[in-house]
Amino acid sequence: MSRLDAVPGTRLLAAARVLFGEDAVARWLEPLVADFQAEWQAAGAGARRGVAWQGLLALPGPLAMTALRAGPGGVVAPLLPLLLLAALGVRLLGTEASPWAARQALWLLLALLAASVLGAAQWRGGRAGLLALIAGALAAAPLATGSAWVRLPALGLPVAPLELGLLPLLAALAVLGGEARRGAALALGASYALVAVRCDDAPLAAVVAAVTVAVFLRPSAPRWLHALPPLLAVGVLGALAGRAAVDEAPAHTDGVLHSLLERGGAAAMLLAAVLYAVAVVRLAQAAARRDGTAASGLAVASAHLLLARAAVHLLSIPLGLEVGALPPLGYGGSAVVATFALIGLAGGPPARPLVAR
Amino acid sequence: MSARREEDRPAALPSLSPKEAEILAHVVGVERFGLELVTLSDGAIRRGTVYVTLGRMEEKGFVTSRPDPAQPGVTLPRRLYRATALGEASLSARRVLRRLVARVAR
Repeated sequence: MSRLDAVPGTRLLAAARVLFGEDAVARWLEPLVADFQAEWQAAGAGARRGVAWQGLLALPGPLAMTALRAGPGGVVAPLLPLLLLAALGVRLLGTEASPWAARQALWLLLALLAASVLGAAQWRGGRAGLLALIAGALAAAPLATGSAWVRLPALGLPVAPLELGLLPLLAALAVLGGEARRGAALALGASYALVAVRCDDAPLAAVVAAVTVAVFLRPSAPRWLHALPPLLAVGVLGALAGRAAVDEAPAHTDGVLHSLLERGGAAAMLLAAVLYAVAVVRLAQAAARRDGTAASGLAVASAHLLLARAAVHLLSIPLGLEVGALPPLGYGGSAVVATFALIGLAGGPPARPLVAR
Repeated sequence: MSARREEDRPAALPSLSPKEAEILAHVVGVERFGLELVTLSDGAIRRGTVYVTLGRMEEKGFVTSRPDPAQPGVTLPRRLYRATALGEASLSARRVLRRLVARVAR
């Protein structure tokens, strides 16, 4: 019997049942496999390979859904965010095993663990839970990408491929819809801007932040929200330009000009941070007013923590402090806080529009 | 003033996306399997998303499914989907709403 004579998908289903449990496989994966097995059987010998390929190409969505919605019988789903961040941590550690990298990787893993636990606790809640799981994993991205931005150029690799890889996931959040999802996406997009400022290497990050935020704004959003992406981009890019001007200024540059450039850069960064924080806090407060749930309240608290973190961080730059050395205010801290904020924001479908028209 | 009682609050309407509506339109009063819907939708529904959408719709109570009894035992039985009463009502409500909005917009 040739390899093609075996009914395709049988072994895949057997493996999936072990990994994800019977229920999730029966709901999300078996209908696809059953359809393509029937098509495969009805096709002539010459067309079977094509049918099998079509089935394979249709597989990613149902397979991902099976993994994310796996029941207690499954072993992989609760570990998905953990595996993702562990892989990133190993990658970072592998590039340069310095104490700094080790500390970043540790924060990465802690954030991952928090995302896993919170995501696993929430995903039983249906679509919002699924979103929480994705958001939890994504919330640690600023940590991972922040480290990657520092390291990848030194290795001669393209800058920040991780961000580009995350964009499809962010688009998936948009597809899920809902004002709360948009709020979560906004917080995430804006957090990229903070990482951009922190890493000194981020025109791309600024663009990603602006695009991310813009993607999630719909025509129905209020005018002030529409104005946010360009302001954010201008703020971050202005900050970067100001810093570059200071860094590249000749040593004999007039002290007053140097000071002005420095102040301008700091002011632009502060503007970006304020815009970002206002947006996050406003969305979180509206979410709390909307349904008064504990999750929404947590979102508000987390957003304020995020605001405090951003303010301290940005004010530290003109003061010459190294905030990243303070664990509670480092990337890991903001990743954990962002995890809470995102999960809180994603805690339930909105009963009415989040932002008052 | 006392807080509003839970039962006084208006019930939330089930959300029906355009893709879900497209699927529902093909399974009202008739049973179909996933790939059949892909063919019938003329490109509006894709192979990669139809099964996830159907699974979600089943969770929301818009469709119900059962294995095809006519399927020979060599392969897995295909899963047949059909609109529930909730699915039919949601689709009808969506159509009425669209007509009303179009009339007002004119």
